Amino acid sequence: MANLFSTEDRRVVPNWRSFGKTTVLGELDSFQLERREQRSPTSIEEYIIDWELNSGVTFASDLLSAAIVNNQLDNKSVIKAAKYILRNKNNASYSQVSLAERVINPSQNKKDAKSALINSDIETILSSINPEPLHQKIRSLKKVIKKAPSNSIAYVELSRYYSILGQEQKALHFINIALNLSPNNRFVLRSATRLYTHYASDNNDHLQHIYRILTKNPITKYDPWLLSAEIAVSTILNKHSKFIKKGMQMISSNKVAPFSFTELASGIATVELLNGSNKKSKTFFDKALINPNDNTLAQIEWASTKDSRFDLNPEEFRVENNYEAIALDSFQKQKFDDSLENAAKWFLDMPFSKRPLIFASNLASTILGDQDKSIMFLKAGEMSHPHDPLILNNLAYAYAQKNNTIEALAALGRISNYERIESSTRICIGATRGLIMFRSGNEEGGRRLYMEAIEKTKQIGNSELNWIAILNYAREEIFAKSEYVEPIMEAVSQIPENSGFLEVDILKKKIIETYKKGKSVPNKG
Amino acid sequence: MNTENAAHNLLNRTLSSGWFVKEKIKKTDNQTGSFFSVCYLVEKDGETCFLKAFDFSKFLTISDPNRKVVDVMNDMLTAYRYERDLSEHCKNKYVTKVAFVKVADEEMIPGYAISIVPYLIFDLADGDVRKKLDFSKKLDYAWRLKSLHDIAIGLKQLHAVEVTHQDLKPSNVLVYLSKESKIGDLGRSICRDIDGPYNKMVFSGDNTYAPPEIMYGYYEKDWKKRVFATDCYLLGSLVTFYFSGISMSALLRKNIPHNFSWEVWNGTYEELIPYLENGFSSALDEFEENIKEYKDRVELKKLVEYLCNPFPEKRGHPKTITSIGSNFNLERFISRLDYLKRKAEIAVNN
Repeated sequence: MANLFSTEDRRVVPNWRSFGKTTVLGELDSFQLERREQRSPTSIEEYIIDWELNSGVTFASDLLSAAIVNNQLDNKSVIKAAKYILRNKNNASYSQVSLAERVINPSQNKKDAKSALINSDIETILSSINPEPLHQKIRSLKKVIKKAPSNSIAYVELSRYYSILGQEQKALHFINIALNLSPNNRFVLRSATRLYTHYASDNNDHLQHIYRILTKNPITKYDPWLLSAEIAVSTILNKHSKFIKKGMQMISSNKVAPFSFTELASGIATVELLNGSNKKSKTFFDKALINPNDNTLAQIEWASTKDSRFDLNPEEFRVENNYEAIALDSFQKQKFDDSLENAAKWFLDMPFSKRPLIFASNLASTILGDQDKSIMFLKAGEMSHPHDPLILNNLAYAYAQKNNTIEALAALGRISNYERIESSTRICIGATRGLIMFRSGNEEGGRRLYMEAIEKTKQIGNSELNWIAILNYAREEIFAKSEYVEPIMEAVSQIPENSGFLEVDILKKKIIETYKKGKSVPNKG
Repeated sequence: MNTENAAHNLLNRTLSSGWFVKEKIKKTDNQTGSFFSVCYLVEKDGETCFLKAFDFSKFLTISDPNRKVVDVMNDMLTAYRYERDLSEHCKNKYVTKVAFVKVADEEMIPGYAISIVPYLIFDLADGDVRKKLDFSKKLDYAWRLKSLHDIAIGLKQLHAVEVTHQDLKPSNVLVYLSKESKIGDLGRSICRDIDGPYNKMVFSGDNTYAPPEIMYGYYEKDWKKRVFATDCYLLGSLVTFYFSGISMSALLRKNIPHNFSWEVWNGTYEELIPYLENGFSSALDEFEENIKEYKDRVELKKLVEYLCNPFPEKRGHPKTITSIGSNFNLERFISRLDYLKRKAEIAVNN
C-alpha cells in the first residue's frame, strides 16, 4: 500500500526557492520599518537642461543614469530622452539601449520578476523528470563562480540544483561554501536551514549542526526571519528555543514590518499549539495573518487539522506561491482535482521537497485512482530522492494498481538499506509486496503479506495505517472474488464512519461501493 | 540705484585685469548648476578664456525660511575663496591634468546695490567629454583610454597634494583641442589643508554618481579612507561611462532587484553584501557586453571591478590592498591604462 502523507510534524521551516523568486516574494526585504538615515531627494534638473541644450545619445544616457539612480524614471524628460535613444539605437551602446527600454517599459521589468513565480500545470512535471536543464544551469552557475568566486548567492543556487538532483554531498558542500562566505546573510542561512533539515535523519547530526549555526549567529536575534528558522529547528529537536521571548518582543515592538514577522509569529503559534496553549497559539496565528506568506498559511492549514478554530480559506489571502495551503485546504474540502493541481505547483515550486510528492502521488493513486499521474509525480521525485523507500514503495504501489507487476517489482528492487527504513514505511513495503502478489495471481502469498502488515500496524499502534491496510487488502480480495471477502468486509465495517482521516473515509466508501457492485478482477497486464 | 545684479552685466566691459568680456554663456558644460555664478567668455592678447562671476547679490533672492541671509552669504564667500585658494595651493606642484583658476580677481561695477563682482578665469575647453563620446560606430578605444589615463593622472596629482575631487563625472571632464583631458570643477573637492565649504560633509559630490555605500547611508568613519575610496569609485564609474554610456551606479542599480535598491532598503549595509556582490557581478557582465569586440575587454573589466567594488574595504588594486600604504593609490591603474592606451594606439596605427 502507499505510504500516507504525514500531517503530524509540520514546522515553519523556511521554504527554499531560487534567489530570484525569494526576492520577488519579499522574504529578503529589510525588516526594519524605518531607515537609519533619511536621504533628501536629488534633483536631476541639471541633467535635463544638459540634454535639452546639447541633445545626442550621450547626454540622453547621462540623464537616464541620473534618473535610475535617483528613482525618477517616470519624469517626462527622461521618457523623452529614452525614446530618443531608442530612435537612435544604431548610435547607442548595449547598456544605453537596455536602460532606455527599461524606462519606456517599466512594467516589463516587473513582469519578468513576476514570471519567476509562475509555475505551469501538472504536465510540466513530466519535463522536470529530465535532468539536463538542471545540468545546464549548474554549468552556467559554475561560470559565474569562476568570474566572481565570492558570490555566495551563486553557491546557494548551485546547492539547490544539486539537491533537486538528489546529490546530497554536493548540495551540502556548496551550501557550506556559501555559509563560509556570507555567514550572516539571511538568504544563505535560511537556505542552509532548509537543506540541513531536508537531509536530517537518525543517521546524521544535520539538525544539531544547523541549530548550532543559527543559535550562535549574532544576527539571528535581530532578524525575525532567522529567529523563526531557529525556533523551527529547535521545535524539531524538541528543544525550547531561547529566542521565543525575544521573538514575542519583536512582534509587539512596532518596529518590524508584519510581513517580516509572519513566519516568526506562526512559529511561536506552533510552539504554543504543541504545548497545548491553543488560545495563545490563536493570538500568534492572528498576528501572523496580518500580512502572511505561503509558509504561514500552510502552517495554519496544518494547525486547522489539530483544532478547527484555526480553519481558514487560504484563497482569501493575496499570497504568492500559496500552493501548499490551497492543496491541503482543497483536500480537506474534497476538491481533489484542485488539490492535485496545486500540489503539482507546490512540487514545481520546491522540486527538492518530498512532501508535495507524497501528498500528490497518494492523492492521485489512492483517492483519484489515477495511477499514471501518481507515477508521473513519483518518477519526478525519484530524481531528487533516488533510492528513497517511501517514493519507491508508492511507485511500486501505483504500478501494481495498473497491474504492471514487472515495473512494480523493479521499483521495490531499487530500495536499499532496508534495515534503516522507518517501521511504518517497512510495513507499507510489505503490504505492497502483497498487492503485487495478488496482481500476479499469487493470492495466497499476497494474503499472507497483507495479514502480516495489518498485524504490524496494530503492534505499532497506528490505527490510520491499520485501516488503510485493511481497506487495501479488502479491495484485493474483492477483485479476487475469494472466499475471504465476507470476513474482511466485516473488518471494513468496523472502521468508524468518520475515522478522523479523510483518506480512510473515502477509501472505505469506495471499497464498499466496489463490494456492492460486485466488480470483477480487472484485466491482468 | 540699479537693483539688477552686477554679475549679470559684465558684457562688453574690459575688466581691470585687462580681460574683455565678449560673450555671456547661458549654461556651460563645466559649471553645471552653479547657483551663485554667471559665466562669460573673455579675451585677452588673442586668448579666449572662460570667466565665472560670483553673483553675490543672489543671497537677496533667497527665500528659504530655514536659512539666514548671513549663512547664504557665507556659503558664497567660502565657495569663492575655496576655489581661489585651492588653485594657489596646487600651483607649482605638478598638478597638470586639472583645470585650475588662471586669474582670481574682482571688479567694481558702480551703480548696483552690491557693486563688487568677484570672478575666476579658467582656460577654455572644447566642452565636456560627453560631447566627444560617440557610440555610433566602433568605439575609439585609443582616444578613450588616453582621456581616462589623463584623468587618472589628474586625480593622482590631486591626491598627492591631499585634495580629493569627490565630484568626478563626465560633465567634469574637460577636453582641450580634442586631445588633452583635464579634471574640471573642483568646487566640491575637499582639501585637508584648506577650510572648504564641504569639508565636514560625508559626501560632497553629485548623488547621481555617488558610490553605493553613500547611497545606502553607510560610510567609513575614517575621513581619509572614505574620501579616497570615493574618488577611486568615481574613476571606475567614469571608465564605465566611457564605454557603456551609463554610470556604474546606474549599471549597478539596473542589476540589483528593486527590494535591495537604495531607495527602499532600510537594513544595514552588511546585510546587503551578497546581494550587492551578485548585482555587481551582473553589472560587470553587462559592462563587458558593451566592449565585446575589444581584445582587452577582460583587463578593462577587471579595472572597473577593482575601482568600483561596492565595498570600500575591497576597493582598489588587489596588490595595493595587500601591501603597505593606501588601498586607493591609483598608480597601478594609471600604468594599466597607459599600457592599454598604447596597445590601442598601436592597433589604430596598424
